[in-house]
Amino acid sequence: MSNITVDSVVISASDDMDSTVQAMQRLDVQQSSLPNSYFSFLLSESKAKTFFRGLSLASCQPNVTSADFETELSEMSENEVGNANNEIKEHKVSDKMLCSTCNIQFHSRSEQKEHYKLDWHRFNLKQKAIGLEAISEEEFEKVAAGGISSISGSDSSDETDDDLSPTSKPHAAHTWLPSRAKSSLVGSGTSESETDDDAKPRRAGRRYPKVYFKNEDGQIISVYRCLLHGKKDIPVSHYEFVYRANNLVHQQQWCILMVAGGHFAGALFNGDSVVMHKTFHRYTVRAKRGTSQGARDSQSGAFARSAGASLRRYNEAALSQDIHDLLDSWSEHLAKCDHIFLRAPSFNKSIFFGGKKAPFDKKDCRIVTIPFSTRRPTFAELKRVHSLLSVVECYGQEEDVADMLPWSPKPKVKPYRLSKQKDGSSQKKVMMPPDVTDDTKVSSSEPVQKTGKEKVDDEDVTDAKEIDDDSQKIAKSSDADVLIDEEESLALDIVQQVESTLHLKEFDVPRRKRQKKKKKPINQQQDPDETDKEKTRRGSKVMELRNELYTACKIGDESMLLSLLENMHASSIATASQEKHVGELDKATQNIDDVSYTSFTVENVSQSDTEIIGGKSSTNETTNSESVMSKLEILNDTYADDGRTLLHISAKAGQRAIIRLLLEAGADPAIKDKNNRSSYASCIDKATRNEFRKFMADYPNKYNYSVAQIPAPLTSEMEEEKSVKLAEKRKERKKAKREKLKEQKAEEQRREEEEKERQWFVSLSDREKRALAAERRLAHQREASTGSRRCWMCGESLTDKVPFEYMDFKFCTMRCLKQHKQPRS
Amino acid sequence: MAVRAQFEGNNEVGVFSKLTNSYCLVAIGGSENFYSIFEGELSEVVPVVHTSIAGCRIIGRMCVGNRHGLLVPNSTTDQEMQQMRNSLPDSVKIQRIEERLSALGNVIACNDYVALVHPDLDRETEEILADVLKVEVFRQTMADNVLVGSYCAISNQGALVHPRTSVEDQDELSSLLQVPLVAGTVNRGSDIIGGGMVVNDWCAFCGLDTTSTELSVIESVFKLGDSQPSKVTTEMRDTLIESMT
Repeated sequence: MSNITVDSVVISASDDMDSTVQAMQRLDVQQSSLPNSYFSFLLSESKAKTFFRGLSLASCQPNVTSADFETELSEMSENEVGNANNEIKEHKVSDKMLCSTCNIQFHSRSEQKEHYKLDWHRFNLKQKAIGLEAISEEEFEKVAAGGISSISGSDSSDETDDDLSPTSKPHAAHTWLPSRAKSSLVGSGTSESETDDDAKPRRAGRRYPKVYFKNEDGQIISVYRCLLHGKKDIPVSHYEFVYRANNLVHQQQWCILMVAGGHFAGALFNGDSVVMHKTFHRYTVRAKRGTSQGARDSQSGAFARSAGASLRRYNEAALSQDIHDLLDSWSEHLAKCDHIFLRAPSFNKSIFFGGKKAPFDKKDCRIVTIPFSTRRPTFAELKRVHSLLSVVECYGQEEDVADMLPWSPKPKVKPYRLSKQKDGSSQKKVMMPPDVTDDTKVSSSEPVQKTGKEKVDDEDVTDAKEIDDDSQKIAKSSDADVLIDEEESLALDIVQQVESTLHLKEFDVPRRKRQKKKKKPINQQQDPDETDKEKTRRGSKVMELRNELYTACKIGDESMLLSLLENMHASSIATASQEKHVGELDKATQNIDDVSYTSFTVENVSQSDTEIIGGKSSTNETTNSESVMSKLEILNDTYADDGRTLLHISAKAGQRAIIRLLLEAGADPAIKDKNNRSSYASCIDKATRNEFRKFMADYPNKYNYSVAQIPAPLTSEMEEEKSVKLAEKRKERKKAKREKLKEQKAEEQRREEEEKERQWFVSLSDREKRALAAERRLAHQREASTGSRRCWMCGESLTDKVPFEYMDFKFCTMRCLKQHKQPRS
Repeated sequence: MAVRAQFEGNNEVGVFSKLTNSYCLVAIGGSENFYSIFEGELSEVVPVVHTSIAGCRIIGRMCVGNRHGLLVPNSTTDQEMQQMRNSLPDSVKIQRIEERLSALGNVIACNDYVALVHPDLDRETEEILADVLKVEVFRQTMADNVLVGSYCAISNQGALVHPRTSVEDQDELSSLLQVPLVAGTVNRGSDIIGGGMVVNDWCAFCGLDTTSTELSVIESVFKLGDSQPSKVTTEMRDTLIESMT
């Protein structure tokens, strides 16, 4: 019924369909004789016709050219060699001006020079290098025109190469066909062969990007699945598939949008023609490193502040804005579109679907992704995508297809189909084994023998694995044990599995605490429920205790710590005595005595501890040592994530008294935190560190001090000695300081005097200065002649006197002078 | 004059030397034999310079030049540049170029007027070639090999190309270069012409293995023989006078 109606619609839709069909049938006949024949058809008749003409040429040419061309070449090269040998003697400059690569002749030297600068020549050289045919100038223009929009600032040559290469591939004989597709479909009337698999589209519908139909001639044809349905609206029945395929012809308004790496390309197609298109590019992808800036920002917490980063961030926003604006302006057309093909990898999706004013609705079933890989978003790429999507491929007769080309998608699909057609029960069987093997790693031969019940068991076991709570796991495994007894070999496997996971958990650091707590419940497996309760009760108690200990250590509350330590003893004694059987007491006593001796060489010498222990539990030594053990555990337990113990905490807080108490109570300074720092190393000041050293002096063997990184013991004598030394040093330093001060003062004074004199001198008038200078000179002179500073006659000192003199002689009085003169005269 | 030479037992003299009409570069080798062969032939006319390029001895493959200039790859050190600058005539421009295909000798073949280059060479390099070496640049392949520099030797007198070059290609190349051209071999049948020999307008050096037939082809195509005594007064005059200034 539906077929008939569709048929009529089709006929009314296309007028010249009959002729097209005839032409194609002719083609069919011709080409089905070739081994790997297949056809595809266009979505508009007029194009289809022209295309067929082109097609026949294209499919024939490769066969002719490839063979003939090669022979030609080889002949040529042989000739050349011969010619070359003959030519040696001639040595003429050739006047043939041609480019053999591009196959053109030149009339002048300048023309020739020009040619070698062209991109066309360059392009052909590259084509030649990769073994492809050179193309004509016109063809190149076309390619370049397409390529130029795509280049948009990036390297062109490689891109254009890629664009071209498909044309040379053998199965590039893609064609479009709307009318033919529809006619073939319609004509079939009962196009069902394909649709068995599509009958269960929910399960397998998305498996293959193409949907295959069979028409009445028994030919297999395929269309892209995305044309028929999106991810959400998967057709249920094969009639729907056929109906949709038939409708395809009327859905010629397509929109293709691609965004990637800052490139955007979008185009609206109506049938074969481009209604509108637009491409733009923004710099958003980090150079060399790759990935867009936004993706980078969201990935790593660090927010790069480089100029480039902010540039890219801006450009990302701008690109998104550009796209929004464009889509706004296209909104009219978009509303009319039958299909919207969108390629927006990961990060770019939000451009279309995110935000308040998202251009598209996520639920819009027109929007589908492009089912094959695409290249950089360019207009050329859009056209390529459009042409690929609009192809309806025809693979010829069904029998032919079976042993057709290896790349044919048909064989790939077939085996899958077969497996799917099995009945429901067997299907379940087929589906199950992989699950089983995956989860429990049972050997592959076993699942075959399994019954339904076994499967349930397996699932139990796998559940048990996944549940965090260890005790629950153990309980389950014990359940499994029971089952295991029934099926020995399999059961053994399962037990191993459980143990191995437990083993692995030991390395899980945060879990360590839990494991410790769990030791006890594991020991008494007889009544797991009770232990659970007990455990939780104790757990909360322990938590409380830990908290209090922590606060005591942090704030340095000595009395609180003391009382806590005491409490710990009392409580642990109580629990221990509950747990222990009286009969075992004696035996256990000896054992644990040994343990306690070995663990403490200095058997709790500290007064407080011995008092407490001795006072409270001298009669019951087992509980005593037991309590000490648990106390030690608590004392040496780690807090917070960085694995610090109470000692670390109090050392960091500088609580010296607490440190002493803790050390005496058994907190081990050798325990290091996650950063591998001992508690000694995390001390806040020297006094705190000394506390450790003092303890070391008192109990030189109690802990492993080398591991604890405590350098040397510190006794009170040493301290005294040190303080004396320190006092001496200080005294000396003081003395030195005083002397220095004195010197400084003297210096200061001298300088002051000098300054005063200078001031005084400056204040003198010029005359006075001169007088002073003269006076000085005089004094100087006097000084210079110190040797003759006595009266020449009587030898009296002449200092402070104005001597009487004649010639060089100086005298104290006139009388001496006369005397001196007289004998001469 | 075509002379046979060997670089430390290696026949690929084109790899270890660079010969132009105004200078000759020779790789620094363990012995001076190689150098002295060049020195003996050329010392009176052009400077023969010991050098390395980017620390390599394969200078012939690394650089390209003619009487106008010398282009070296970007990896050339400053000392090497300085050394060459000091040793070469002032008329010779030396320039470093940034080119992905850094073995310039392999991707470029040139005489004083024309250069054939690898199809993938940078446009920028192409421009520099035209400016510094004063040549016309043609993108071309040599018998379907893109390494045009490796497979041919060109002087202003003639060219020797890869033996498998087709007649059409030979015609095309000859019309491009405007010199007579022959397909041939060096070093007893090696098709790596550029690696096997160096040539300028009056002198050629090829590997010790080169047969006399090959040598005679070389002499005839590059017009090196004594049969053309008038050369010094005619074709070579320009070059010689330039190099003496």
